[in-house]
Amino acid sequence: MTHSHEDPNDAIDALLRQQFEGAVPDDGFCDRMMERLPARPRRRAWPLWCGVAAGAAACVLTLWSTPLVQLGWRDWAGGQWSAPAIVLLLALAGLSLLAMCWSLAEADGS
Amino acid sequence: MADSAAEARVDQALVTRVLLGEDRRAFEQLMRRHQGLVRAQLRRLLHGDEAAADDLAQEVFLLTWRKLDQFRGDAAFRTWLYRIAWSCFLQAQRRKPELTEDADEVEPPAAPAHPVDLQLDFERALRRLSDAEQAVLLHCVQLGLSHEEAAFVLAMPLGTVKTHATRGKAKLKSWLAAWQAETVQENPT
Repeated sequence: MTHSHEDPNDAIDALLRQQFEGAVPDDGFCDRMMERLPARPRRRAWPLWCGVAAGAAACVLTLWSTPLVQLGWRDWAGGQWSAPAIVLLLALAGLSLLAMCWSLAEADGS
Repeated sequence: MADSAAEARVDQALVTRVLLGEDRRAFEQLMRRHQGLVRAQLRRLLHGDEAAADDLAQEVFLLTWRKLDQFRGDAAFRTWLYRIAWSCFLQAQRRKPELTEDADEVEPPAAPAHPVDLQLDFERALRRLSDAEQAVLLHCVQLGLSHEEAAFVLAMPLGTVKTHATRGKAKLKSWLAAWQAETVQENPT
């Protein structure tokens, strides 16, 4: 041992590293694993889309009976910027913004 | 640093390929890149039991294949793999009947006569550390993880990891000092 002038922690670290055998050679491990690999469980998309469709349908049914949406839609289609049309526009813009934030967050996380 | 960032980008790209296209070749590449150190980690944890370590490594990679969509990229892919391997190791230990050996009651090893003996006795000394100290030294020193990464892998608070690392090294240092003193006495030239 020639560590008399070295930091004893360095000597311990050196011994620990020396004693570690390092990465194990493959020796067919990956080939055996690939043979055993099952099909990946697919994430089912239909519950999400069913939920989105059901939510959208419920939203439309609830709002369609209120005069605000009907007025807003009519004015918007006629090119008149009335208060109901602006409310409808703002609501749609808000929903689009939320959808965009959600998409960005998902893309960032993946 | 740049190398590890590049490695992380390659891993991330391979993970994305697997997730987007169920690309088995990409997963094979990921496995080839990391199997060596994961198996080495498990062999150390299982005190050199190669067969048991390889069985556990298979379990680790099957679990990784199934759970790959849970990899969010917060940690490096290899760190995430080490964490899965550590969890699998703990589960395997729980399934096994426990062999108790109280580390504190065992005498430190005697001074080695030759360098080869030093290696053997260092190995014995290492095994006499507590399980947590061994695990921390394995991940921090031998596998080269930072304290933060080791804390993530071992699911321990950062302070606990640092304490185990310091204590483990201090024990080894005291035993090593005893060996050095005895060797100098035996060979005064």
